[in-house]
Amino acid sequence: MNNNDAPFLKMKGIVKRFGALTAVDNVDLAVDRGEVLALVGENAAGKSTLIKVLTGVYQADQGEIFIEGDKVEINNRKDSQKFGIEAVYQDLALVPQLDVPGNLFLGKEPPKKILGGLFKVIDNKKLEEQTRDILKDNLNMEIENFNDPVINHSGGQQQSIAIGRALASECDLIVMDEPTASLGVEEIDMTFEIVRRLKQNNVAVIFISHNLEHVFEVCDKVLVMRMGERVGYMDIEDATRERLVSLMVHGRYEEEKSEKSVANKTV
Amino acid sequence: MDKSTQTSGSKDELHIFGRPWTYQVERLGPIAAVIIFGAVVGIIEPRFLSARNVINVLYQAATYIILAVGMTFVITGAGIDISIGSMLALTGILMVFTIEYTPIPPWLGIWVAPLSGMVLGLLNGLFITKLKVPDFIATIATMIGYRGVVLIMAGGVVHYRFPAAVRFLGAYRLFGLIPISILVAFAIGALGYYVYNNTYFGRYTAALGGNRESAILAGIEVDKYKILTYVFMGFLAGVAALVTIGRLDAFHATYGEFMEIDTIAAVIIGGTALFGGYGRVWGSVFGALLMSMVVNGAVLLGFPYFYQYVLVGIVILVAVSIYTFLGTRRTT
Repeated sequence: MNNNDAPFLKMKGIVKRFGALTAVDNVDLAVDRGEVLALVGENAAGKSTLIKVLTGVYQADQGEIFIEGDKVEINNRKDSQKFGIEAVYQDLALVPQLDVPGNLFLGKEPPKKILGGLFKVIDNKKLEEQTRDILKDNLNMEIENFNDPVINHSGGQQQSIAIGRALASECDLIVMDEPTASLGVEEIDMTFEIVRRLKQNNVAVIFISHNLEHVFEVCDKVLVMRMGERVGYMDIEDATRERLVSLMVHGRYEEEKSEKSVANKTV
Repeated sequence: MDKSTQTSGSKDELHIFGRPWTYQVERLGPIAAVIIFGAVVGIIEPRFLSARNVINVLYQAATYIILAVGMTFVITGAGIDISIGSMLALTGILMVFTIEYTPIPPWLGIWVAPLSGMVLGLLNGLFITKLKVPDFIATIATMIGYRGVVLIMAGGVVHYRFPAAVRFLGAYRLFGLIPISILVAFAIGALGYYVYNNTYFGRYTAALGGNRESAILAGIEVDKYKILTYVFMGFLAGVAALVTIGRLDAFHATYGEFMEIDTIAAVIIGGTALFGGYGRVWGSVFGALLMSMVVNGAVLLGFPYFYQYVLVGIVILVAVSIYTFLGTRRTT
């Protein structure tokens, strides 16, 4: 546990509206270092919106965010980066035309001074070295032709590159939005491996997934959202597949009823 | 874990010097086209390759090369600048007025062209990013507006006989042989290449043109870099004004008309993606050169003047067809 009593991240009473639609309605969330929090819910439950509030892409209409107990303002992506928050987005957020180093370190390229410090340019040599290190040490990946545009690489590799991007910065919290959605079996195992390693390194992880198998595989706690509201929060030991599905679909869980509703709802 | 080690998905594609063959064709295509076209026309009409004619072709290409380098950045950032011809004329008349009607010495006055170009480019950028007017519409509006200001200022009068400082860039020749403007054009090409590959400006322009959303998520101030591409374009329009006015030792309010079309054509022939994401600075330089060669070659081969347009049109279609073919291969 942390020396500090407060968890690394605490979000309190977050509300986000888009016109008449309340996408996130008074949601609390907490995650500590070395902890993997699953964020589950059906489509349009507000998971991605909540995450975009955290990363500064959206601004909350109400609510507070605390980092290690201190109240902070996150108004844009730069702010969230400053607090060590990184995200791997569902649509990967890669630039298809840029090569692997260009994507891994986009926005964080190592600088080099030229003309006696007059101009700051990108240190491309160092960029490539750092890329090799990240690929080898963190992703256990060998990419040939990493100067090809990333669009030339396979879906799984693009996923790894997107995760690598989050790892490339020394971050304290990584949000993974559906990291396993478009992957093959081996690549999914690799993603779990990365999550476990992050946990060992005392990084906090928020893991968004539709796939409950994957949640049970790597997560410590589960937060369930439904139609913008938080409807459940529990340790993974207390969660069952039935309980989570019932919460996701109905927003409540009653022992007797659940059997039927689960039987009806799941394939 | 070891068994899940991955290798590149593009491994099976044929690579030449560590890059896919399609990339190499794209990169070397414009240079190859210049060489092949030069050789073919040179065999039919040897005068085409005479030193005098080669210098002449380069001389005429200089303005387009300078503009095309700037346009490469604008298009890479998923923009387009239709106003460059009007910017060339407006920066030109501002410089001419400064030199003719103020006590500012000519060697200082010539800087008015590139500096006012930056201001005009900044206006373009602000209209696009802050007023959210689409690039194409915004620069069509400023194309018309800037041209209007030129006509108001210059009327139908031809200004001519400028001091040496104005003529230097456009008319002077190194050792009495190689026009300074050619050297400047290629220096700007080299600078543009360096900027594209090594600066944050170059990288982030490609990023915002390739996937704007991703660039924002990576913390890149996309509006800032978008504006910078237009400022850089305006600066180079001012330099091109200096070269044009110096070469002709005259200024007329119609200068620069239709230059945007030829410049965009040169950039597209050079292999820059029209919808942004990646640019080929040297490609644009050779694209501009090829256009100049086609026009000059047509004259030497005795084509009537209007046929030049048809030939340039064919060159653009052939080039884009080749890139489309390569592009299709690349993504499937």
